[in-house]
Amino acid sequence: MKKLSDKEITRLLAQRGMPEPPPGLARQIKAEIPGQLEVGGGALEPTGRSGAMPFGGLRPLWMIAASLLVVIGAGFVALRLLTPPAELSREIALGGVTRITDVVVTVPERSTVERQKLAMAENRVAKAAVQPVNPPAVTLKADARAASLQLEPKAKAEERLELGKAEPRAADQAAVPVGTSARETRAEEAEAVVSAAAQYADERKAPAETDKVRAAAAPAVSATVPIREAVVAQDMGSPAKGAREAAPKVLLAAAPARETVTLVVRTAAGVTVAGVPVSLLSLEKKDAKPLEGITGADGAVAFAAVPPGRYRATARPSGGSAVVLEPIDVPAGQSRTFELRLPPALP
Amino acid sequence: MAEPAGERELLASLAGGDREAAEALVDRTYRKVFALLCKLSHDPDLAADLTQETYRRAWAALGSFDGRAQFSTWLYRIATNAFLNHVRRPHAVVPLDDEMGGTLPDGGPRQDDEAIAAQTQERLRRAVLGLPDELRFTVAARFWGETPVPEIARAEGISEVAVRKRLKRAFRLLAVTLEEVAS
Repeated sequence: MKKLSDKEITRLLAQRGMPEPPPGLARQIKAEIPGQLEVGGGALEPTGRSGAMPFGGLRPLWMIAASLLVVIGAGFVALRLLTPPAELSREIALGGVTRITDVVVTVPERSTVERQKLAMAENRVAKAAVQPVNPPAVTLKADARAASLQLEPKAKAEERLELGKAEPRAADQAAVPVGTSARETRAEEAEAVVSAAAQYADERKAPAETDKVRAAAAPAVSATVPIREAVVAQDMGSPAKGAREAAPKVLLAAAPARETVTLVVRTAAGVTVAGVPVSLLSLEKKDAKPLEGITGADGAVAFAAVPPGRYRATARPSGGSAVVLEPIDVPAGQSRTFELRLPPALP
Repeated sequence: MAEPAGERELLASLAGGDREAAEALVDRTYRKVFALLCKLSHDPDLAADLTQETYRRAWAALGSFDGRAQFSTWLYRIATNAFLNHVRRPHAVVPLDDEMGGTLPDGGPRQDDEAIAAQTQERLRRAVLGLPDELRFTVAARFWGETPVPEIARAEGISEVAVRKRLKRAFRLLAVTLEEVAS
């Protein structure tokens, strides 16, 4: 059989010839009609397309209207989101649009001389941090235990205590380089050192000496201010330079007084000289160790908490003769600055 | 076909307890229901039984008749479902031979043309029964119940275009089915 067309199928489906229903079928059906029938409410409503399908004709229109509202609303929201704020719009209208695509930040390079000076200063600071120039009785470290282990030899301390010299060597000197990681000494670290010294005195059964140790160390402990601030405030030789540029080595002397002695090394022409080893030696105490340091970029070295007295300042430039300045009087309660003038270079 | 307005009046009377209105509805519709069931089952006896079953179900579900379509169209849907329920029963026996044609009164062989036509009608019936439900009812109501497309659309709750699309799709399936059966 060939494939039938729609028309042929329609013709076949529409063919009649059905037999008549058997007689009595209607009667049988009627006999089964129940006595009580319940008709749906919708069946009793007026006929017609609009009645059969409430709002049937209007439904497409409502759908179209709702779609239009949704599209308009979405467009309004998108417009609000894409439109810049009122202030920005006003700025754009008044001044146009400036689009910044790249921002280049230029940092001026240091000159070669500056870099060399900075490297030298850092090297000196690092070197001084590893090897204290003046062997101190106690070096303030971040770790108090490490500090207590660096007490001076027992023999010397015993000898001093027995002689009644209540010099609190345990906490009298400390070298703290500026610009290193341990830029700030802390009060508790100093206290740990003092406690170590006092403990040693207790072991020697000398309570009086213990009190002296604590009394002598008290100013040093209370003087544990941030080193950077101290340097900036006391660096009289180069007040205008920053702390990093100055980078002097500060020697904290846990002496009874707090005087600061600043030594500035200059050439004959008055130019500061960096990297010159300098020392400060007491002329009154024969056994005192000299305070030593190296001038910073500004040619200065600050010795903090120097006990009052008379001193000798010496500068030993490499390749040149030493320059000595004496006597230097350090009165109590005053900070002093002294200049060491190097001799002019010989032709 | 009964006028819709008259049908509404009968339904209104039926709601008021008028038994004669129910009988009048039966008189208006039972021939078409029987004809539809004959087309579906190709068995007059089964069609008569299913016609009675259709009205029993209609009386029981009369409260759900919403009046969207005519009462007769509503009956067609019930009749189609009754037939499908019957053939889906395990014990149901649907005649596969041509009971409607039978033999000629003189007992001689049918003419070739008539035999071919009867065979084609049977194949068509089976093809219609093999259609999906919505297509089957649409074809049966449209051609075997002589229901207009708008009326089917109201009864099914779809548009007339959708009804015509159903018919088109049904024709395509029927054509394919008949072609496969013939080959």
